[in-house]
Amino acid sequence: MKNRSAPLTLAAAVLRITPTKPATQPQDPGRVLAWLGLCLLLAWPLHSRSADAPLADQPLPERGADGAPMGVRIAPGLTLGGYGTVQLALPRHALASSGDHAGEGDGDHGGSSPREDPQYARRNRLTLSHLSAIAWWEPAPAIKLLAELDSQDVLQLPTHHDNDDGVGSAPTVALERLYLDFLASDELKLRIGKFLTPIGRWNQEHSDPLTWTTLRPLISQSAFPTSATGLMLFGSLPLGPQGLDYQLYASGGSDWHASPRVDPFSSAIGLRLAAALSADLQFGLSAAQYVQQHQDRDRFDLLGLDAVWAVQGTEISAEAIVRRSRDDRATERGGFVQGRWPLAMRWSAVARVEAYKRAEDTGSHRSALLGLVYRSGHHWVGKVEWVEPNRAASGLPQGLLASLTLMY
Amino acid sequence: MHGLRQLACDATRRIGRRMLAMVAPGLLLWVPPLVAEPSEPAIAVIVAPSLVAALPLNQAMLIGVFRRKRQLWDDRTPIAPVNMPASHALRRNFSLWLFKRSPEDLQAYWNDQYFHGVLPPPVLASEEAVIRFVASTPGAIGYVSACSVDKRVLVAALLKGPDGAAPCAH
Repeated sequence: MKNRSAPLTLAAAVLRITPTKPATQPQDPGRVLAWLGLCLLLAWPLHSRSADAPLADQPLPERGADGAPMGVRIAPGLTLGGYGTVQLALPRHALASSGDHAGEGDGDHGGSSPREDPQYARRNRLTLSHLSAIAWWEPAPAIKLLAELDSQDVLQLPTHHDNDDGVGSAPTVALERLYLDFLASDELKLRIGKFLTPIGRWNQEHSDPLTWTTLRPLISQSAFPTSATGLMLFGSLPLGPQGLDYQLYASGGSDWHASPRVDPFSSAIGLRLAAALSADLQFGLSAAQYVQQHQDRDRFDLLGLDAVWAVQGTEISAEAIVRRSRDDRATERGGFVQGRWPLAMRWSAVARVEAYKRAEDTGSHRSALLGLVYRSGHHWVGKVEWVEPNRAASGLPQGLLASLTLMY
Repeated sequence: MHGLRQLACDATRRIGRRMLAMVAPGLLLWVPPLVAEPSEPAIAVIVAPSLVAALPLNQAMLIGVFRRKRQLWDDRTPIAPVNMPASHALRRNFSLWLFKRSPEDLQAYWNDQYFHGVLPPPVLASEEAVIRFVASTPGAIGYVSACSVDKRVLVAALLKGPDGAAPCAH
């Protein structure tokens, strides 16, 4: 048992940035920025050759109704973008009881679990669920600094009350990502900082404009912290017609500006591989070994598989995960299958079934989701969906969810 | 039990006979299609003569370059791909022949990349503009009709449609 945890312990020791600071306290953002700035200054001479290359007049970025968003270029090499989402939740029992907050199931739901889903509400609620700012700076072709700050649920109607919505819906400003990329070659890149945990497809593509549903699957957020602070080696190896992408990462804890909704890593080491077998079919494999700060007695082993098949607008995706604790007390497992079918105009239908067994639940949580999505050519996305979970799991959304997202 | 099995066999045979009766006239009328004449000339992926050492480029490399997953040439010069506008016929064919996807189908990919700070290749409005840009910019790569290539640039790869490529008029 000791031997299996040795690499993790070593990685944690090597990567711990502030060893004297209590792990549960968020890092000072100013200190983080200063540290990254120092890295940038140290790295600058290594890339002076490419930075000194003569710059020709660049062609124009493509702007049009169906083009990808381009952000705003606010200085040479510095681009600012992001997205905002307004979310409407009409929970089933709130609809049935016309605003009776003490509706069915309240006693079971408790409302104090830190893992309660932030999208869950016992009453009708309209929120500015995300207001995200993403900035990236490329001072040289081989260096990129990227930061994302996400204001979550900062505006709510009616205003926030813990008793009604649970701690998961408290307004918060989260540092989603802050990292520096060094491009040694296309096969080998180094990322240092805070990044989205490379487990499964959904977590790294979880931003509202990229997903087909307002509700995240449990599998993408329950079993592991959604972000990690540490080091990552990644790249694309020239294997097969589309290449093999890999992400090898390690975290020593010390999560930067940890969100109160997340139980961050104490230490972690993991690998993700993704490959396209054809233009239509992609597979991914994720493996990780980690300890979380609020569950420091448990060391978890996680294995995940994911696939997506997309052809002529139809997309079928699936993810499955198994997280095992050493004493089997906090084992979680589950998966989902999701389909998206294009309808007329820019409308799509989406359906998802998920089965997931959380450690704290008595039985497996199962849910079905049916929804409609409208994707405008001008970077806004409207979604409306009905979520129907079984009663085995608590603190989860049920009823009608809708959202409107704008990318900028 | 035997009776049920017999019933199932009879039903299967009846359905098989009916399907054959429906399909047979179609088979008799089916005429193998004539070999389609290619209607589009090949697309030439072009680079500056200074990149001769990197040639030729295979399909995986081209996909990586125009998806911006490959960012450096072997000598560490940054790769600078350029596109034609999405409405241009050449762009549509390039996208279909290389990625097996229309430019619209790739929008989801570029939306995803946007959140990682990666933007799609910028665009130039004409083939002449692409040739001039590629010839004068270190690390640049673009594409034009194979009939438009001249000595200012090198052909790194040729893409043809499923029916082959039509000859140039001149």
